Amino acid sequence: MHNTPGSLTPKDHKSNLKDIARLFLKLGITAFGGPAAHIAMMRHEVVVKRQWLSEQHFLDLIGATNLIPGPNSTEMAIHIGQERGGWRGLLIAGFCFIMPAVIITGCLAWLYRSYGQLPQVQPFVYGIKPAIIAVILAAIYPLAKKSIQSVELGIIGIVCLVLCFLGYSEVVILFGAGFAALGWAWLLSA
Amino acid sequence: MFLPLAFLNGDAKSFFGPVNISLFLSFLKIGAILYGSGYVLFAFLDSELVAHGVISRQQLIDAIAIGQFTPGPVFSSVTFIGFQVNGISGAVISTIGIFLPSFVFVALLSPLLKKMRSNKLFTTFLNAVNVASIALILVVCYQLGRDSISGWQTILIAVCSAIILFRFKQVNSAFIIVGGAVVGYLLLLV
Repeated sequence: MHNTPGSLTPKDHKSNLKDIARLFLKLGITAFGGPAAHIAMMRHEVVVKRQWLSEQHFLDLIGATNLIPGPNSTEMAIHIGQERGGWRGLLIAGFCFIMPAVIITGCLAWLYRSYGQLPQVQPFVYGIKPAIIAVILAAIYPLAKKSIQSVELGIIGIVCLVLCFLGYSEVVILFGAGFAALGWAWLLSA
Repeated sequence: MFLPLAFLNGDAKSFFGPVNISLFLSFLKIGAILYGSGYVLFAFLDSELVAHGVISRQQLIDAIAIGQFTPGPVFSSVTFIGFQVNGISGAVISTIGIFLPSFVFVALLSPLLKKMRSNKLFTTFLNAVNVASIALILVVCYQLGRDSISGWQTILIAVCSAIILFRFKQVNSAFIIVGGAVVGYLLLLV
């Protein structure tokens, strides 16, 4: 077998797929706290620890998955799998990320139908939420620094923040930001 | 007299029966058009399922709670609902329905994204969308804080978690979250 340096041998490819499966199974089991926390944890694994993607590339994936409907963090997982391992990686990442939750939920659903109520988790959730806030902030800080590339983008970010607090829908804010930036660029060039 | 009725009932609830088909289509639709957070999912399922008497509102509330306190995607709530309506086959069909669009969207978006990144107009657009996405995550953080920070215990957990994460960038956030749960539980006992 002759391979130019840098190209992936089938063996590399296979170990890539295994890495993808391992990572997203792990995330599927340990990623508590909703989409924002999942994205924070994925950034730590994929950008900081494994360096599969650059910070900018990861940021682009966040933006892009926000533009399409559907659960953002699951789509991030699928997307990262695709970047790393092609269509096989896409399927494996998505499947591994979703499966643990589905199995746990399935068991709870079965218990619920037998007992008619949920287990008491309140005492455990109590301390999880404040920790999740810290996890999200720690991931969002470098991403925010990366995303605000100009004064204009900084202003757009602040306006988005205000609109979101005022209760505008996410779709309006996301597409509004994009078109506002285009309009701004057009005004500057005119 | 009873036999055909029982047969009909069994048929309707079989794997490819009308109950599963309508579950599949409802969740396929939601997976394909829903933007944003779990709160939107709640409103959607409320009008789609509770209003049509497929599940009760209490079942929906419990389903959403389960999706939030289990790891992985919040949309695993749907597995729970599918199970309540039609057992294991309902759970499987509903899960496939809600996540299928995400796989398709990312498969379509991913090659497009690479091409468009070299387009100047699209880059302007995406940069602004990235900033908006970060703003949305910040607002999620604020909402989490508003719901969960009360009293010195939760503040202590949030601040200590943040200090650890910002000082030691290699720390796995899963440890922080489990740590938060344990410390929170202990502090409640004090």
